[in-house]
Amino acid sequence: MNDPILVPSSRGPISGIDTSGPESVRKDTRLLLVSNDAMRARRRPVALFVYYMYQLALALVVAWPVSRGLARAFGGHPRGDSVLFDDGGWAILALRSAWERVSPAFFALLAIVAIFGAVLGLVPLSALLTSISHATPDTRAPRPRHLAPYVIATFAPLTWIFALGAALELALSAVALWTFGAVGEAVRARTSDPRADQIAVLACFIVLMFAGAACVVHDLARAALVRHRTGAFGAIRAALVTFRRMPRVAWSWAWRGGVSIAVVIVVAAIVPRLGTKGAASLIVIALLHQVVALARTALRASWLARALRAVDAAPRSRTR
Amino acid sequence: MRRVKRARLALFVLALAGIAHGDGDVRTEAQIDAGARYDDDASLPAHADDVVDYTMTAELDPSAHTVHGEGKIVWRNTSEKPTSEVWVHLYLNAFKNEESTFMREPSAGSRGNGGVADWGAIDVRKFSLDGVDLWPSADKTGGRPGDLDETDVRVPLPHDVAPGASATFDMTWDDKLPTVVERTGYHGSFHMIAQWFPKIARLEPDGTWAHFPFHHLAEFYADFGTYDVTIKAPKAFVMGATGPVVEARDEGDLHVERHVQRDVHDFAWTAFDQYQERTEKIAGVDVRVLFPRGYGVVAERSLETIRFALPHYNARYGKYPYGVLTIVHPPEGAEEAGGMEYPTLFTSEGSWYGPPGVNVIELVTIHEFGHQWFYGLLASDEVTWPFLDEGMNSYAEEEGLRAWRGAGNVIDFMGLEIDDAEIDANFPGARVHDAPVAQPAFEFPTGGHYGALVYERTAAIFETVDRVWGRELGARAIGRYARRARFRHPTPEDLLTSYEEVVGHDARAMIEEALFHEGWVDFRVEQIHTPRVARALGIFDRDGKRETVKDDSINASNEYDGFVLVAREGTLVMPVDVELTLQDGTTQRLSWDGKEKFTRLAFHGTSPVAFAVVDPDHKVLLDQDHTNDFMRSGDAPTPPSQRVFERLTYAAQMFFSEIAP
Repeated sequence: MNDPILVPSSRGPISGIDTSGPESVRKDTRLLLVSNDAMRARRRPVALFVYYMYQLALALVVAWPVSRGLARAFGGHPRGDSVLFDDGGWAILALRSAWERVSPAFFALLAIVAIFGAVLGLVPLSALLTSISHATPDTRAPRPRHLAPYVIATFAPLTWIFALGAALELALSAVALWTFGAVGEAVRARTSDPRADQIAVLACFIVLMFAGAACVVHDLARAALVRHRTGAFGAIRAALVTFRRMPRVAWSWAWRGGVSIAVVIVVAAIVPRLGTKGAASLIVIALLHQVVALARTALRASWLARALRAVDAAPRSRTR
Repeated sequence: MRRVKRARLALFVLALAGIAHGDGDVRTEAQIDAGARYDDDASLPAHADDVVDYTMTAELDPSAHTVHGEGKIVWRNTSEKPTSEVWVHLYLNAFKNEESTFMREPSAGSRGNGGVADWGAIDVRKFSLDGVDLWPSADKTGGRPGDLDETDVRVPLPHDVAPGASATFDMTWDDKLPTVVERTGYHGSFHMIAQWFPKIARLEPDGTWAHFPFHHLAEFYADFGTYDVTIKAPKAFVMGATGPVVEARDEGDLHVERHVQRDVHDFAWTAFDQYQERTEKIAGVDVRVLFPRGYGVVAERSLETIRFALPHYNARYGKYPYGVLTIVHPPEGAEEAGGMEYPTLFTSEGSWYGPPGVNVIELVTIHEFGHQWFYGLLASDEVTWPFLDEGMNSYAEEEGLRAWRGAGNVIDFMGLEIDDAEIDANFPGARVHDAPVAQPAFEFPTGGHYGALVYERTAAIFETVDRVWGRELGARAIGRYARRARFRHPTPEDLLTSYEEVVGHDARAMIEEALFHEGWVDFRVEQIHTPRVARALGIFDRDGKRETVKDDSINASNEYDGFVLVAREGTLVMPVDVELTLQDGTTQRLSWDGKEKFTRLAFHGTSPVAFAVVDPDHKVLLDQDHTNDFMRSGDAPTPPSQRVFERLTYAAQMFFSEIAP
């Protein structure tokens, strides 16, 4: 791996961090910006892995209690919870009445974990962005003690950006859904059902493209915040400028998103062929699934690195 | 000679079944033979009794959504008594106003609840006998003073019609079709024209009229006869109807088709200017699919279903006697017209993109097709005994789908396989305690109960019979019933008799309890007690000496003794297996006749019992709770549970990776 090319940070140590004190301390936590072309996710495997682990931890918070409940329900069967995979689905269906009782609690848990997880997730996200875009003076990847002040300083503006971005993305998704129904209804009388649905899907897709654009701008704003060390609204302005000047950056987001979905589908098609009996199939399936999760994390990090390069390359005069 | 051999073979199979279950319920040869002549198609009647013949002409105005009809009914009194009246059903008046029985009845969970955007009605202009119009003197409310329902009309006759005599009624009427509701009506230029003409109720052999208003949850009941119907619609419209086209021509701007079909008890037709059509000869029957533009995939899936189902049902329930079969697929927005059966014609449903792996189109197609037997050819009273058509047909649907598509016959998607039978077994839930299955349709408290008990519970009952007493016997019993009852308006007793003859008294008793008395059952493993065989502890006086045994480990053997306690809650009695898994990994099978409330199954072996599973082959679909069918002994190792944990974790990862920042 080549050493990252360092460029001097135009802003110096980020605001809010105490830079007084002994030189050794300041020197110890000081980071330098990595040059544009050197911002690559593959140069920061540890940060990427931490990001992956965070999502895994969130998943475990939800999966653990549910799987414990299922293990209790089927712990009396010699095949344990394997019966849930029996042909015909009798065991899954046997849980229907229990599910009706516990599903409100489950969805409440899911919602709570999702909301808190999304907000807390800004910490590993900030660490990942900072890690990709910065390096220590000796060109090494930042360590946690380097990242901590940056992560703390960016948490509040990242939260603002997340709230605004999520609200916009949700609103646009709702508009897309409404568009699907409204357009389908409007054209159905004049054409066949399939054509009406195809037109409705197209209209929905057009609105979803705006939602996708919002996602791109959202990530560009995060990247600008970390790269330029500006405030939330400054970062949003920078993101909009970047997007306007470099609209093709959306393609970088889109193809990675497409590949992320494709790997899930491909593995979902493979897994049923691996069977539901024996430790070997379980291990293989678990490995496959985690490869998918890691691959998706890597694709996400790769996109974030691309976003960092984009905001770095775009003229920054409008952001000051 | 062949029949005797078959009977002996059946006796042998039954004897084996009886020995296996230890129930002693072995049929005698005489009992087996009682209905054995109905076990093959040689017993099938060539035709139904020709009780009522309709000769009608109907013209559709698709812009006004009206039908003008004219015609005559030749009706014969086939009862034992003279009658001074006829009852006429005007089903379309169910959608006339909010005072109809249909509109007033609660029916949550069923079709027909979406309201009527454009009301429909049938106005009889003339209903005459011997030139005298009887309609002015008809009682439009069917003898229910103050009731504004106009679907069940009593028409007094000027003179009695004696047993064996006939009467010819001339009639003229006008239909205003509603927007599609409860199987009939229009949606845009799509028209499904059903329950559309004045229809004479059935006169039972004892001289009572089986008449009824159009109930929300009920279907129909009528006599067999010949329908000779000429239908007219603008040329741009493609039409489909009961029976074959015997004559087709154009009259000005109209296309005219004459359909004639004998041995049926209803006539429905459809007209739509957007229909496309596919035809294919399957097992000697001209099958025609009418579908909206863009539904070609749906049409092919329907045909594929019929390619399997027609020969399969022919073999199980007796040969389909008609030369034609029409499948109508309504367009989107007209779903209320979908999923309904008429003689030689049924409507299907499902979206044009019908997702692969989710077999809704196949399920609906095979269900509605099955009604050609369990409704069409048997013609049971659907109002009084809805389980005889919908329930038995749901059982046939389960059997057919499984025979065709295996365990994943409803859903087979990315490793998830869901069986129709499991859905039917599970969904009634606690509703099985709310009402009996075998009762009139209008007695069910909600549409949800009607669906869960009439369709799903009935199917689960008969599927359980197949699994517990054997599929061969089940197939023979239902086949005998379907053949013996063809064209004969069977009652529940006819069905029970076939099962008693073939499967035995215990099966009949179980079915009867489950159908009529809210019968239910819940097997569970209550206790596992299989300690090591050892000397008893305590103080013993032996041979004049007192001995105190404190520790049995020294003399402990390598054998284990004890029992597994299995309980049966509920009122349904049937034999069941119990599988014991020992700690050394071996298994043992024990049988229990299930007649007592519980049993202690004795165990002796060289390894203690680790797990006990009652009904390990999952035969008893009626078991209310499958999660108590198994138990682990306290010192047995915990069975694996990592597989579900892994799947859930991965699913949650995918979820959070989509929504997390």
